[in-house]
Amino acid sequence: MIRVDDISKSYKTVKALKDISFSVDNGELFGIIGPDGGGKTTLMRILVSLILPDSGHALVHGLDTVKDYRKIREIIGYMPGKFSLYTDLTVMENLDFYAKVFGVSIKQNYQLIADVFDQLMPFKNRRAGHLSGGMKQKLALCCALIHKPEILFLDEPTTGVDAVSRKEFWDMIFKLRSDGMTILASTPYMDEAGRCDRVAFLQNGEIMGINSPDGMVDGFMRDVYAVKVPIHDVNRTIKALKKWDKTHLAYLFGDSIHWTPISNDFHKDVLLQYILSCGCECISIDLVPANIEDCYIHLSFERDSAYE
Amino acid sequence: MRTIFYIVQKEFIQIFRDKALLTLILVVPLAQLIALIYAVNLEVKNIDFTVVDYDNTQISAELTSVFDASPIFTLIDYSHSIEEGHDLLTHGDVDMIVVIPDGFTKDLETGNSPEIQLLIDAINGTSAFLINNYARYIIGDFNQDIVIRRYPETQNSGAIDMTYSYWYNPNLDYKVFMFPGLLVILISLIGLFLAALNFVKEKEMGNVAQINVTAIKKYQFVSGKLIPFWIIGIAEFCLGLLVGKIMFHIPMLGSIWLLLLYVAVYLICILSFGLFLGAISHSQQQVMFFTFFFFLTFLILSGIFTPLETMPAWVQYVNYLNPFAYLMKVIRMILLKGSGFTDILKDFVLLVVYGVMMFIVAVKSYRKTA
Repeated sequence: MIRVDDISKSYKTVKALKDISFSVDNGELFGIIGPDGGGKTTLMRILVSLILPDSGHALVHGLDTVKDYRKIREIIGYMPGKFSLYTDLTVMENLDFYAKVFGVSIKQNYQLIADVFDQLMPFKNRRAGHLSGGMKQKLALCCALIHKPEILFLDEPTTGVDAVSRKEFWDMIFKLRSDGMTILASTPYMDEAGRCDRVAFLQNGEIMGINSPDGMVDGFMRDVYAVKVPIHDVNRTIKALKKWDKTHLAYLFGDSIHWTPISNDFHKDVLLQYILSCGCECISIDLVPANIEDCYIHLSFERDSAYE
Repeated sequence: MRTIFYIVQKEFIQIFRDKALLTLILVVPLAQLIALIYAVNLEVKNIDFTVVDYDNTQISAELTSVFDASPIFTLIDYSHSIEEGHDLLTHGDVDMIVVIPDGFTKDLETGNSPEIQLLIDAINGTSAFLINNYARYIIGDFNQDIVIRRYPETQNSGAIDMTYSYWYNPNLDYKVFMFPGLLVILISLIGLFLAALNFVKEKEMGNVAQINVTAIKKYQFVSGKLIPFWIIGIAEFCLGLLVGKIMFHIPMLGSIWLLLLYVAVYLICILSFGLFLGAISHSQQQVMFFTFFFFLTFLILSGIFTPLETMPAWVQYVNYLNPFAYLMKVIRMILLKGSGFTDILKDFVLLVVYGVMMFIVAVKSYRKTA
């Protein structure tokens, strides 16, 4: 289990983390979702004992990240966001090296990585530097897992990985979790948030909300309307909607516009009338269930307006 | 211990995989050793000179031919005046002007001390000094010859006859002096640069971030980086010795085992120094600058070209912190003089202390947290 209490960290003038607190239960798959520069990597690096917090403290399995860093390093697996294996060693040599320095053999823990490593097998004698992005990440995951850590930290494991590999990657993470491993993963991709047991939204060094993905959505009280307009009208429509006094938020979502009213006591015909009155065309308007990205955007907006 | 072994194993795989680096490590320094030994030659040979003979007698002509006959000096031209000689000197056509004044023979015959003027190009002070010495030697010889010829009865008149004998390098062969120095450069290069660059490269690649979250301890990591280059350094040194023995017939009077022991300690010291520089640098540019700075400073102060005794006192104190100086001195002592363990004991103890300290500094300065 991980406990984080009032952690702060600044780099010169930038406050990367501002009094962060949360906890992760044993066997939980916990996601940290947020934009680039939100503080995800800093938080990860503090938890794996690579950097020291300015204030506050964090416990990983009851071990303090500052005082007990040695013991922590023995029980965690860490996959940095930047590929950090030896590019001039082969796939097999990398795995072998990390197994050996942890005093285990590949055979011993092979079942843990078997699913992923089987995909790497055809390339086992290829140098790590010559692997594709997805393969590199898979190898990094194998190396982080080979000593059978109790807690796994994954810093943006799927950044720069194609869609198919991303899915495979998350399948793998899911399987590890069902085997009882505690996993903390960060990602800038909203669609990956739904795979976690609980997620924390991290932006500008602050946690904007922590809940299960379903809990997030259930807790979302506003109606969301998906507005489809012809492509050439999208920008104009969003601009017009933002000016409207009945609008809470209007933003682009995939190929449609998501719009939320200030009050749920609202009929979609009024929306249609407004759009047409602005001289824009409208293909369809549907009341849709909110998803996690809607939650994120609203939390982020409300936080910003609270400051203003 | 096992962890260190695994790191060493990994390093060797990486070194042997990088074919360009391997060539650089093994072939280039040896080629350098062989080529440079001819280049850094301070021997003075082929000195061109001109004579301004105002005397114009048989004796002055004899003196000129004695100069010309020596293997060191070559007569380029006669000059009619000092000015003409000066022109040749300024153009670099000659390195020395011998001026024989009018009345030279007369002075000699009447028993006054005759004088000869030597004008020497002293841009390079060392060679000017040597030219001067050679010339005086020739003149002295000539002088004695004349005296004996004219006054045969004085031949054994008890004049003190000085003879020279150059110990440890009887033929004053410059190669014998330079070879050990070049060998020091060679293994120091490997020690400082390779270790430092290797360390920083891992930092730049981000490998260190991954290593840092493993249970590898600092001293294990530093040792794991040190040992491969230590082995390579010793191998390189042995190869160098072999080249010296076979190609240049460098005398090796002392115990080679003692020398190897000393070099083994030296390499720990210099590699730790390199790793320390690697630990405090963040990029390859930085570390290149650092190592180059220390390499040059250490080298020039080490006494590779100039004897330490002629350097100012402060240099000799600074040299207590100069690893190069420890080896530069002892390698010549052991190879050329045949010094034994007791002769080098003081340096050995100091080097061991320095090496251990440097290793500790290297380990301490490697930070696993940022």
